[in-house]
Amino acid sequence: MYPRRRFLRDLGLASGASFLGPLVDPWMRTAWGQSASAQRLVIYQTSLGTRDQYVPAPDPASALGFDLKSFRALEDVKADVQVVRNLYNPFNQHLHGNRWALTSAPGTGEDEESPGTATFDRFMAERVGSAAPVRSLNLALWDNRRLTTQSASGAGQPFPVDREAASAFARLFPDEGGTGGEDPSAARNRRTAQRRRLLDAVRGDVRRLERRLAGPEKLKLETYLGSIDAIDGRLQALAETPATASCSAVEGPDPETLGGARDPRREHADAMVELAALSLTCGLTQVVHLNNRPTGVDWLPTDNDEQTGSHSMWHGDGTDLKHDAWFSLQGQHLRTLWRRLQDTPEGAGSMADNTLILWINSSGGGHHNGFYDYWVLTLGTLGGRLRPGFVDLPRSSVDNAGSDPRYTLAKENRRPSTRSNRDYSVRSTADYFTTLNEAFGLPGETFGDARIRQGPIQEMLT
Amino acid sequence: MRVPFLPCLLAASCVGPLVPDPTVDVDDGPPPAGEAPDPMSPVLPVRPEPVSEAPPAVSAFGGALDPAACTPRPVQVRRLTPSELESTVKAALGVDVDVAEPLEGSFQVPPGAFSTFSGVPQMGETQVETWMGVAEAVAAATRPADIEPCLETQIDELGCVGRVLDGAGRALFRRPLTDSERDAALAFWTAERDLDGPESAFTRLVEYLLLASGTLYRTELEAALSPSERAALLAYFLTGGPPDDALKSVEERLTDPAVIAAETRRLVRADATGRGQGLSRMLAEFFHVRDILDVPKPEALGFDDALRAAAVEESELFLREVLAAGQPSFSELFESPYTRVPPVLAELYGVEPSEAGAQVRLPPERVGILGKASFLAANARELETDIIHRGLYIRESLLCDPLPDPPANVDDAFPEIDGTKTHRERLLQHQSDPSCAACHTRIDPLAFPLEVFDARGAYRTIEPESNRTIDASGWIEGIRGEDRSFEGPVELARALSVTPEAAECLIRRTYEFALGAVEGAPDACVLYAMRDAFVASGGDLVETVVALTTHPDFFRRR
Repeated sequence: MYPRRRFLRDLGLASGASFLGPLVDPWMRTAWGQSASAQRLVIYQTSLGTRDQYVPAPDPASALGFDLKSFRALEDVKADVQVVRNLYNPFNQHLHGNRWALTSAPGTGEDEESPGTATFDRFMAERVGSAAPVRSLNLALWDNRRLTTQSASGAGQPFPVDREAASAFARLFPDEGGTGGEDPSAARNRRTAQRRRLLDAVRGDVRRLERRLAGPEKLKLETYLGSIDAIDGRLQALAETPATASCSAVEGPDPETLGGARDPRREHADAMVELAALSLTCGLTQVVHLNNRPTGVDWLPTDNDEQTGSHSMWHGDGTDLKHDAWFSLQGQHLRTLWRRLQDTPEGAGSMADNTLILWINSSGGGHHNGFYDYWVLTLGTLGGRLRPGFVDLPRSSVDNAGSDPRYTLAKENRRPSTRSNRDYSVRSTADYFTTLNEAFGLPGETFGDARIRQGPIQEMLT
Repeated sequence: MRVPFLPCLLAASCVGPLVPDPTVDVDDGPPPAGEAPDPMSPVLPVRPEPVSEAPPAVSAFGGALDPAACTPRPVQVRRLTPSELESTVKAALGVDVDVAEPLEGSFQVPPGAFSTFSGVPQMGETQVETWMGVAEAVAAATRPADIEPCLETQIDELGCVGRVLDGAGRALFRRPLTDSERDAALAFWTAERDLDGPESAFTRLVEYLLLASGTLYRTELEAALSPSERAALLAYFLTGGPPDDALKSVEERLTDPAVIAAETRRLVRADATGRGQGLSRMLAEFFHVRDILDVPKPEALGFDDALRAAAVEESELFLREVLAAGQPSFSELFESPYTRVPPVLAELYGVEPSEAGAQVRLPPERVGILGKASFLAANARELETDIIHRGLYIRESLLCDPLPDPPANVDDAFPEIDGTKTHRERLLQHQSDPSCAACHTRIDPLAFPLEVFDARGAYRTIEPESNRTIDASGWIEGIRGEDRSFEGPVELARALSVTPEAAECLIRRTYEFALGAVEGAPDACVLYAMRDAFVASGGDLVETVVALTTHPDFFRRR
C-alpha cells in the first residue's frame, strides 16, 4: 500500500520533503495486466502561445546543435529530445481559444467550435491504449471551472477533462480496502463483482431507451452504453489482476492540502503530473493528455507592482522572469515524467523505451499568431524510430492571393490577410502526426485532413 | 445615414415589419478603411450626433428568422444538469448528500452554452464514473424506512420493494415505471438479495435507479409530449427541479393554455422566492454572474473570496427579486437602483450596511446589473479596468452580437501606462488601425461609461493611472444602422434597456435555456410570439415566458 503521507511528501507538500522523488515501487508496474511491450503516449498541451526567446532553437555551440533555453530542465535527458520547428495547421483557431489543435482538421459548428474529428490522443488511445483499463486520461493541470477540454473522441464528441487532482485520483485509484477484518483482495473482488452486476443491469435499461431513438439522440445513449462497457472492461481487468500487485490501494493527494476547487497553485499542476506518472507506471493507462491551460498562476514571480495572471502576461504584463518561469516549469514537468518512466523497468530496459512524450502549444507561434509557426518537442525515440535532435523544417514564400492551402483552408478571420510574400511553413501538423504514426509502428496510418497532408516527415525518422 | 435610437421596442405602435424593407436605407455600414482617424491625432473619435428622423423599419432577430417558420424542436433526450439531479434526488429520497458539487467538474457544456445545453453526448467514462460515485454515496445515505415504511419490517419482501418503485422510483423518474422497467428493477433486486442479503440489495437498487435512464434523462420522444413530459419540461425550466405536487395535480391539464399560464406564473415566483435554480438561474447564467468566482485577482486589489461570494450573492438576489416582483420588467434588470447589499460589499458600493439584508437605494451612478461588482470586477484586468472585455461582454453576451477573432499577427500588447494618457486614450490605436477599428468601434465605446468603476467595481471620478478626470461618454454603434450616444453608466443602462437587440437577445437565450438548444434553427414562431408578448406587456419577463410555455410548439416535437 502506498501511504498518503508518502504521496504528500513526494509532492513536496509535507514538511522537509524532497520534491517528486520516485513514487512507485517496481512491483507496482505489473498491475492491471500491463504487457511488457506496451507503447505509451503522453501529450502535454500548453496554450497561449510561445516566444522565440524561451523555446529551443538551433545553436551550433550547444550540445547536439540546439539550445534548450527555458526547457533547460531537459539538459540531462537532451539525447532523448527531438524538436521540430515550422509546422502549419490552417484549421486551428488562431486566438487563444485554440481548442482543437490536435485534430489537424476542420471543426464543426457555426464557428468551428466543436471538434471535427478525434484529437491525436484519442486517436492513439484506440490504437495503442485499447488494452489498458483506461484507454486514455485527460487531466487539467490547473483547476479552473471554466476550463474546457482540448481532447475529443470524434466529431462533436469532446472528451471530458479531469480538473481537480484529488477527485481524479480518488476516481482512478479508489480505496477498495476491506473493513472489519475482511481481506482487502476479497473486499475488492466483492465490490468489483457488485459494480459489474450493477453496470450490467443499467446497460439493459439504457438499451431499452436507446432502441427508441435515432440520430444524435441515439448517439447520446450509445455514448452512455460505450462508457458502461469501458468501465466494465476495466473492472474485469482489475478482477483478473493478482491482488498483491495492485496499485488500487494508492492514496491520493489530500483535497484540503491542495486547496480543493479553483486551486491555481503550482502544487495542483504537480499533483496532476504525478497522477499521470502513476497511471502510466501502474499500467492503468497508456495514453495521457495533460491540459496546461491556466487562467491564473499565482506562483509565477512578479516584479514590483507587476500584475499576476497568465493571460495578461502575454499582453504587456509579462517580464522575462515570468515567461521564463512559465516555460521552465513545463520543462520540469516533462523531465519528471520522463525520469519516472526511465526509472520503471520494462522488458530489458525501461518504460521510457516504449513511450513518447509530446509537448505542443495550441497556438502556432505567439499569443495571437495564426496557424503557421508551430514547433513541437518530444522525449523518446520509440525503440530508435525517431531521430533525436533539432529538425528545422523548410519554409517558403507565399502569396496570399494564391491558392495555397495554407491560406485557402483557413477561415477568413484567422488569416494573416493583409500580409503577403511571407515565409510560411511547408509541412503541416497532419504530416507531423502521420510521422508519429510511423514511429509508433502504424505504417500507412494517416492523421488529419488529406488536403494538408504530404506524408511522413522523413527528417524526423531514423 | 445615421438614424436616431429610440425606445421603439416597448411601444407597440413602433414595431415595424418583421422582414427587412428594401426601400429603407437603415445602414450605411462602417466607414471605409481609408477614412479611419488620423493615428497621430490626439482627439478622441467623435461621437455620432443624434438626429431626429423617423425610427428605422427593423426586422426582429436581426432579420435572420422567417417569422412564419414554425419548426418545433426535434425529439430529444436531455441529461439532467448537476443542479437538476440534486433537486430530483433530494425530493425523491430525502437525503442530505451533496450531489451537484461533485458533478460540476465533469458535466461540462460548451463555452457560452447554458448549463441546460443538451446538444452533445454527455455520459463519457469520466461522467459515468463520477455519477456512479455520487449514486453510491446517495444510496449509502438513503434510509429505507424514510422512503417506504414497509421496509422497516419487510425489507426482504418483493411486494414492499414494489412499493419503493411506485414511490421513490416514480419520483426519481418523474413518471410511473413501465412494466419492463419495473420487472427489470425487481429482477435486479432479487438477484442482489440472493447474493448479498436484503439490506445490500436495497442499497444496490437505489444505485440502479439513480443510474437508470429514467432518472438521468428527461425524454421528449413523441410529437406530442406526454403529460409527465410536459410537467417535467415546465418544472425543470422554471424551477430547476422536478414537478411539485401542485404541478403534478394538473399534469393532465397541461394542454390548456390557461392552466399552463397559471402554472408558469406560479412556478417563476416560487423559484424566485425559493431556490433560484430555474428562470432565475437562467438570468444569472445569461449575465455571467458567477464568472467572478473564477477570475484570478491579485492580493493587492483587495478583492478576496468573501467579496467574490458577496458579489455573486448580491447579483443573484437582485435577479431573483426582479423576477419575483409583481410585474418584473426587463428595464429593471438594467436600471433598478435597488438592491440588497451584503455587509462586506457596503464599503465598495459607498453605502451603509443594510440591516438584515434590507433593500437599499444605491448611489445614483450605480444601477442595474452592470453596476454590480460581480460584472465589473470579473471584467477587469488584475489592477486596471478592462474596457475591451467589458465592451465585449455587452456586445456579445447582452446583445448577442458575436465578433470575429482579431486579425492574425495583431500587436496584442496592451498599451503601457505612461502616467499621462487615460485608459481610454491608450486604446486610441483601436480607432486608428483599420484592422482593429472595424470591431473595436463596436466594442470599446460601449464600456467607456463604465470607466467610472475601477477594477473592483468601486466608483471613482479620477483615473489613478493618469490622474485625469474620467470621460464617461460612449455610444452604441452598429445596431441596425442606429447609433446612440450616452453619458455615464446610467444612460448606458437606459440605452441597453430600450435596445431591441438586447431584448431579443434575452428572448432568444431564454428559449435556448428552456429547450436545451443552441445549435440549429430556433422555432421562429415561438420567438416572435415571445417578442410580441414582451412588447405588449411593456417588457414583462414573466409574460414573455408565458408566451413561450403556452405556445403550441413548446410541447410539440418533430
